[in-house]
Amino acid sequence: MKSAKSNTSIIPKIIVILGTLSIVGIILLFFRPRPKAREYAEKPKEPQKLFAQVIRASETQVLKLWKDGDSFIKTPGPNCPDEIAFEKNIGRNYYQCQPHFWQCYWQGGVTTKPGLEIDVFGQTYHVKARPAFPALLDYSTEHRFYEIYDRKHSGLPFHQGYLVELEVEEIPGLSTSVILTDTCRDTFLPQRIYAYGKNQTKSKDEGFIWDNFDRNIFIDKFYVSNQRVNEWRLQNKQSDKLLIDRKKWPEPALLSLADQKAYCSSLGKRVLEANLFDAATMSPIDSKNTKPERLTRPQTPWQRDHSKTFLGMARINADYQLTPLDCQLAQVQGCTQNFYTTDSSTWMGMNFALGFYPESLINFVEPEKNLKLSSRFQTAESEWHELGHRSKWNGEQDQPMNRPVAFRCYEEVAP
Amino acid sequence: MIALYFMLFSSLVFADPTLRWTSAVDVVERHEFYNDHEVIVKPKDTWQTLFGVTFLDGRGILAKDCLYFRIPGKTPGVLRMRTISATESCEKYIFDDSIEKWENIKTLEFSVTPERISLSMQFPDYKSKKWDIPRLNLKPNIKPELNMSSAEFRSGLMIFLSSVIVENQPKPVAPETGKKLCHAISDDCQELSPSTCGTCAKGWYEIPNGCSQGPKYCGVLECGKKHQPACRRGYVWQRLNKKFDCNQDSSFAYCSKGLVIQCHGAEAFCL
Repeated sequence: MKSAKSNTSIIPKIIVILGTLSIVGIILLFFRPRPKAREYAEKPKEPQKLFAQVIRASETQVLKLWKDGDSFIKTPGPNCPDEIAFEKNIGRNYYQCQPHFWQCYWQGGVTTKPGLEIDVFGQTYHVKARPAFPALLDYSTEHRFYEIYDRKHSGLPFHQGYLVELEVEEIPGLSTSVILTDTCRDTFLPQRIYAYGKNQTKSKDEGFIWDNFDRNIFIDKFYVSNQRVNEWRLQNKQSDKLLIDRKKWPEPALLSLADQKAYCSSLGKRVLEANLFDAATMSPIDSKNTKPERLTRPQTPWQRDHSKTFLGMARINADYQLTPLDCQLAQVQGCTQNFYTTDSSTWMGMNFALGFYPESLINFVEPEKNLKLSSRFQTAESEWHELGHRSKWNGEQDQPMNRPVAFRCYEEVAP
Repeated sequence: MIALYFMLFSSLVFADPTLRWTSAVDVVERHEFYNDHEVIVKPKDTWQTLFGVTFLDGRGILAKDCLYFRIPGKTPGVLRMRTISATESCEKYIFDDSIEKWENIKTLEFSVTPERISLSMQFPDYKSKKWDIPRLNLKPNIKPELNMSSAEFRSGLMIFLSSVIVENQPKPVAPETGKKLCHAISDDCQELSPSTCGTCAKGWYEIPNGCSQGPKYCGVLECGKKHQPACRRGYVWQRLNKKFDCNQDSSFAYCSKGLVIQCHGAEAFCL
C-alpha cells in the first residue's frame, strides 16, 4: 500500500519537473543569441544602389584576380603576346599585382569568357572590367583595362596605383572606378635590434648595432624589373627609353645609380641600404625576442655556418656538382637563370640574398661598400657568397669590366 | 575620353550623396556634441555643421561634402549639403547657400561608424528619408606585421572612387616637392604638429634627435655625409632606457666612417 502511494506521488513530480524544464528551455530559446541577419539580404530597388552592393560583394574576387593572378593561369599559359611572354623560368609571383596580366585576362588571353561571377540576392551577376582607357601604342593598339594612377595632389595615402573601371553585365549603364594598390611588392621589416656587417674578429666587439623601433620599413621582395621601370618611363614621357622585348620585362632593370635613386624617389621610396639588407637577410636566433642581449651575424640566410652549406662544400670540394635545390637557394655560376622565384626567401620575405644578381646598396656606415657582389657571375666556391661581404660600385652600368647591377627600393611609411 | 564622358553623365544622374559616400575616405569635422542615433533638438533655430565627408571623385580628386542642419524650432528644420575642396573647412560655408537642400524636417538623427554613415529624417506628413551608406574605403587601422605590404598597411587593398565628378573645385594641392618641414618635433620630443610627410612627392628624411620621432622634411637627402644630418641609429639598441641628450650621448645617430657627430641643439649632424 505504501509503495503504491509513493509510485503515484513520483510521476506527477516528474511531470512537473519536465514541464518546468520545458518552459525554461522555451524561454531560454527565446532569449538565445541569434545569428545576425545577413547584411543587404534585401535586394535594393534602385539600380545605382544594387550596383554599389554587387560591386562591394565582388571585392574579394576582384582582389584575387589582381593579387593572385598566377592562380588563373592554366597550361599552356596566357595567350597575349603584346602583354606577356610566358616563359618557364619566370616565377609565378611575376603575375601578381601585374597590370599586364590584368590586361591579358580581360582581353581574353587567359580564358575565352573573362568575368567574375558574383552570387548575391539570390542571383548571379557578372562583374567585368571595361576597356575604358586609351591604348598604349608603344605596346599595342588595344584599349587598356587599366591606367597608372599617379597621385597628383596631397591628401591620398599612396603614391601610385592602377585605375580600373568595373561594370556589372546585368545592370547596364553603370560603372565605377577603383584604384588597385600594389600589395605584392614589398614586405615589412619587423621592429627590433639588428646587426650590420660581417662577424667581428674581436670576440667582445659587438660591431655596428642599430634598431628600427618606431619605424615602419617595407622592403621590395624582388629586384626592380624592366616592366616596373617601363611604367616609370611612361609616366615621365620617355617612350624612347622603353624596353619593348616582353621576354626581358621580368628581368632586373639595369640602371645607373642616379636613375635607381630617381626611380625609387618617384614612388616616395629609397634605394635599399646595406644595414637594411643585412637586417632582412640575417635570420634572428629568436624572432620573438626583439631586444636580444646577443646578436649573431649568420653567413647565409638559411644556415648560420657557411661551411655546412653547398657554398662551403664547394670551397673544399673542387668537383662539387650543383643541385637544383642549391640553385633555388642561391643562383651562382652554373645555375639556370630564373626570375621572380621565392625559394630563396629570407626570414622576413625578401628574395635573392645571395647569388642571383649583384645588387646596389646605399651604405651610410661604410660608403665604399655599396655592392652586394655575390651573384650568378661567381662560382659557388667564391668568397663573395657570404652575408655582410660587400664590394664597391662606381654607379655606372656600362663600364666594360662591370657586371650588371640590379637594385630594389624600400619605403619608410611616415608616421 | 570615353571614361570621362561616362563619368560626367553619371554625375548628372546621381546627385544623391548616398552614392558618393560609399567611396568616403574619412569623416571629418564631426559635431562634438551630437551622439550617434540621438535626435538633434538644440540649439533651436540655429545652423550647425553636422560633419564633413571626404571622398575621391571620379577623377581621383579628393573632395568634401559638408552637411549643415538648421535645427527645428519656430520653423521646421533644413538640411543643406555643399561640396567643397577637401583642403577647406566646412565652417567657412555654414551660412552660404547650397545646391542640395532638404526642407520641412521634423526630426533628424545620424550616426558615423568606421563601417557606415547613417542619417534619418522625419517629415510632418509621416514621410521619412533614410540614408544608410556602407563605407567601401575602410581606413585600415592596423599595426604592421611580418609579411604585410606597405600598400596594405597604408591605404588598404582597393580604393573606390565616386561616380561623381565634382566641378569647380579649387586646384588641388600638389604633393610637396620642396624641402619643407612635414613633422615638427621639438628638442624635448614634443610633437608640435602632426606628420604630413605622407604628402611629400618624393619621400622625406629625418634629423635624429634622440626621440622616438625626430623632425622630418620632405625631399631626398642622404644622411651621414659631411655637413648633412646624421643617420638614425635608434634609441633601444643601447638597452639604456633613457632620454638621449645629443651633447652627452649621441649614440642614437651615426655618420659615415671618418666623420664625427656635431650637435645643433638636440639634432645630430655630421662633420
